[in-house]
Amino acid sequence: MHDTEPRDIGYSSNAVTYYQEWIEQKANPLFAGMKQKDLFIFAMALGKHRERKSTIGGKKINNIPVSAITEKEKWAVLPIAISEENDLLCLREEVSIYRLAEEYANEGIKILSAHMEKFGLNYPKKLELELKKLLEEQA
Amino acid sequence: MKFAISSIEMTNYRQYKGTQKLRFTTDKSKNVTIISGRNGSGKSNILNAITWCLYGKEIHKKYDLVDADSMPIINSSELESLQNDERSFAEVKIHLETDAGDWLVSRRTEGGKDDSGELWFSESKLTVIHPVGNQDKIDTGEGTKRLINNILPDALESFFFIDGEQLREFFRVRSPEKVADAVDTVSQLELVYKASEHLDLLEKDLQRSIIAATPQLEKNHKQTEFVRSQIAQFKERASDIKRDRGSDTAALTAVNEYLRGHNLERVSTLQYKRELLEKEKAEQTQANSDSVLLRNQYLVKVAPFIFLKAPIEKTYALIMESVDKGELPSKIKEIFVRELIEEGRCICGNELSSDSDATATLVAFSKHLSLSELSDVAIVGKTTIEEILSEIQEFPQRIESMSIKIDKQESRLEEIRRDLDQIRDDLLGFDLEEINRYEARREELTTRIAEHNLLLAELDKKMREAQQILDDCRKQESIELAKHPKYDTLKRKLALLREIQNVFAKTESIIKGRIRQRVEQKTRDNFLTLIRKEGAFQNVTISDDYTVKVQHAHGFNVINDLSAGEYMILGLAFMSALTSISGFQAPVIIDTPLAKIDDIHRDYITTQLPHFLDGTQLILLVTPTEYDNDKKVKDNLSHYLLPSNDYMIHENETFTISEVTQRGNA
Repeated sequence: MHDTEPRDIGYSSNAVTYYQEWIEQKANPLFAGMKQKDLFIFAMALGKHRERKSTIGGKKINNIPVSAITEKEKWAVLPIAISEENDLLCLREEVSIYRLAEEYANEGIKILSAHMEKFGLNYPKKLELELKKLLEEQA
Repeated sequence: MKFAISSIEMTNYRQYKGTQKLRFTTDKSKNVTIISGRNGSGKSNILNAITWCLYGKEIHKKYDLVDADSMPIINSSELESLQNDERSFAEVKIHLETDAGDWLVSRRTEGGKDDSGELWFSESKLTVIHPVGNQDKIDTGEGTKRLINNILPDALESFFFIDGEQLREFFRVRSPEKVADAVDTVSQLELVYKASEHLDLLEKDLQRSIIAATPQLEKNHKQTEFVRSQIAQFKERASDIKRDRGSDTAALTAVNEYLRGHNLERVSTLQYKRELLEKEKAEQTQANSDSVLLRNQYLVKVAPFIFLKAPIEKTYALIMESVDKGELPSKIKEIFVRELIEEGRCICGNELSSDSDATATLVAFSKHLSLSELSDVAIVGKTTIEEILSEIQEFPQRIESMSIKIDKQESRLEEIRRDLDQIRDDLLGFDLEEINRYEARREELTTRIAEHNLLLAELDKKMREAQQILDDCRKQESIELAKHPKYDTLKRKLALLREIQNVFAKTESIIKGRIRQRVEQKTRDNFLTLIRKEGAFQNVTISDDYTVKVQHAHGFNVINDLSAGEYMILGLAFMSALTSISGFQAPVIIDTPLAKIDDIHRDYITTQLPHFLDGTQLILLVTPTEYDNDKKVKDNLSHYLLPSNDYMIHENETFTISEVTQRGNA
């Protein structure tokens, strides 16, 4: 169905520590036991929410197979490009959509890292409040 | 090689003055031997005599012959009777019946008084007489140990020669390390370990030959050596900490048992209450940790949709707009229309010039059709987005209910902590110095165990980091070697070596995994066969981290709630699994197998065990309470007992000398 999607998506080699350690650390308040794709989608959404993106400079690690992303998760990735293009036709070429997602994730992971450092073990609670507030504002 | 003990001869060994000889008749169906004696009469020293003779160690005691304060192996009355400059000896001889002929194993130690009356002792000497071809061969000295190890390796001895008390405690004190050690021992991976050590040395040698090649390689080599020594230190430290944690855990169990069994009701009630609270605390902590994990997983999954709510809603609106316009779905392929435009001719033959109305209509239609090609994606997207939007809507309520649950668990945990502190304060301030002392000891042990766990977690982290550095060093080395063609052969050798190392590591992991599964299966089968309440338990599992769980019929893990008898049966089930998997066929000797066990389990063990170890010589060292005064136990064992294999230990009036006689020949 998604005939034009890329095989893998990736992140900057500078972010390897986050992608590999956070999901393995038992003590990580939020991502322990999760998968790299979960962290990627989270970072991408955070980056887009803050309207911050940047191209991946230097080496890129293509470590996340797109086949591992569920249909539901894909519909977090695709609307970013659709809404920016204001056109469903961009779905004809999903490679560009995923590249755009990588750019948002590239900045999102930095924002996330700063949050983790600032709030530590309290980050999940802080995130919960932020999400509630966001929904209240949008209501 | 299968073997059985046909006789034991002890001369001046501990409380056995002079020579005592026990002959055992080996019979396939009547496989039980009984040696009965009161506590302290010398039962355990018969077990010690066997392990001392075969392996030069006594499983019950740890002492040094040269330690002046400890009881010497040579009978103390015998030593007492010596004049200055006189000498004597202690000796244990064991006759073995093996399927390759009879063996005689003996160990002897000498000692005496010097001219000033000071005691002296010599190192013990092992002698093995065994058949080679048609003749008997005599081997002496500690090198002879390899012969003994061929019939039953030293490392496996504790699975056959068993101290009943230690067996009961084996699973009472939670120690996955002991289970892991046992599985490791029975896996008999010595060859793999030795080969791995050899490969490590080979790797070091190869690396040494290239260190001076380039500054980078030299730097790399130095770092590799440093990290390797760090890893070795970490491993040694972790092993020390695990050992200390094991002994502290055993000591804590003993303190808890003392307080629980105290004759002052207030003390035993407080301890009982504490154990219930600690159990609840462990369950609540686990439940809380599960709830937090669930909440966090939910947050990670739902947060992107909330952050992206606006783009998602916009996409949904675009899809709906296309649906309303009838753009989705359509069966016509956009490529067909595009080709018509490019060719400039319709299928009906009419020209399609670039400025014609027909062409303009087709261009507009082609965009429309592009969307139609995406109809599958978009229609799925529409449904998926509807699900996502509904999930976003549910978020406040769902997260609220998760948070309420977590808060409740945390406040209950806080209450439990307060109650536990109160019990500790009550016992520390109790009006009995002995109780205060035990409670203070308990506090000290609990703190120490927590510290051990913390240190082990830190070491584990450091080890993983060091291993990562080591891997990086190897990669760097390979890159550096690739720059110099003259090191091609060396590079290939190193690569091959590391491949073999990986194969060994995988082999070790696979073998251990399989052995663990076999031990688990056999322990489960044995336990469910031996246990009285077979309907009350449904499973015994040994997880990847060697944690043993006994699953109650209703699914709960009851490893901490078994009775003394059930612990004994679990221990026996585990040891029997290990002995059968080890592949060695040797006698099983159990010291005090029935102490502290209720009547029903005694009945079960004595009915099932001899049958269970069918064909294996089973020597039971029992107290009169376990055997002579228990008619049912005697009746049960009589089916498997030849009169010639029934012995009693008698003590002299001062309890310093014992002798063993066949029952009825006293």
